[in-house]
Amino acid sequence: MNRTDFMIKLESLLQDISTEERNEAMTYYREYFNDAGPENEDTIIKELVSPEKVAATIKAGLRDHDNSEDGEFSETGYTDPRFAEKEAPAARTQDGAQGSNTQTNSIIKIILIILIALAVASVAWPVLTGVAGAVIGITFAIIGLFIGLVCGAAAITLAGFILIIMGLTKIAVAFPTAIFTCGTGILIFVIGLIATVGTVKLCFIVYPAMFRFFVNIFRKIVHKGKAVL
Amino acid sequence: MVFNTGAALLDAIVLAVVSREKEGTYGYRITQDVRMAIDVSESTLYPVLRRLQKDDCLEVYDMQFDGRNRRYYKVTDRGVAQLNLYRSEWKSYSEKISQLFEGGTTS
Repeated sequence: MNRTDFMIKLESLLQDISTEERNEAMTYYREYFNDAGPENEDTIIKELVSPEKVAATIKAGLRDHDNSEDGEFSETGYTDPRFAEKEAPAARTQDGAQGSNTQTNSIIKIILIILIALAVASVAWPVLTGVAGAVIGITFAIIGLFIGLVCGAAAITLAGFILIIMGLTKIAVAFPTAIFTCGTGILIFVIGLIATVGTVKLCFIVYPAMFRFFVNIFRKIVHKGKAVL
Repeated sequence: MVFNTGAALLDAIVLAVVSREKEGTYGYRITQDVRMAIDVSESTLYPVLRRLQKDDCLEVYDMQFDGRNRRYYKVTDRGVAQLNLYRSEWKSYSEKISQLFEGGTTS
């Protein structure tokens, strides 16, 4: 690679910086070659290593100037990551940027986590409310069913009781019918009473069981949450 | 060299080298002068000079030389102040380090 090739390559590598900065850098290296003289051309090209390295150094310098407040006069780095000659220029520039950007990175990470959480929540929220609605609905349906059974049983008991009264009122008018009605009434009353007691007992079994079931689910969710955290 | 030359020290060395020339000096020569003290690659100094120029520690002017243009760097008042700061900082820093190295036998 000769001087002309070097300069052309360098200029093409500096396309992504401002025209002013590019011109400044190109002027500097053009004059540098001029002042060194044609006899030193090969030495200089060898010592500059590659246009890639020179371009990386120029860009690193520009970036460094942008956040000079926190980086410029520190004791660490500067020459180390950027002028070490082992790695590829691209890798070197990244190394240089890493130190000063660590804090920014962690802030960006936190923001990202919040955004992801919000995105997940916005999708999960309707699903969660749907599931919660279904669970609550089924729960009240079961509660209602057993209350209904108790009410039905109580109604049968009441019907039996009313039949007994009706039978008793007819006792003087039509004795056999009255006895029959009373007997049926007593039978229905007893069946109703048994059913009432049975359904109430059933309620005493079912409602605590349901309650325990929900407590268990709730407990599992809480414990799971703790385990994740 | 075993020791790293940090950004501040590099700035100080460049300012010192440029300030020796009352009429200013140019890129190639600055590099040669700096290299008499520390081992820097040819590409190291351009960003340093550019930064010092942007920070108003150096000013540039173009002058004809040998039938072509040449850019000269000169230390500004601000550059002189900065260099003096570096000088005093370096003096106390290097004295302390020397003191440690030489076993605290100084008065």
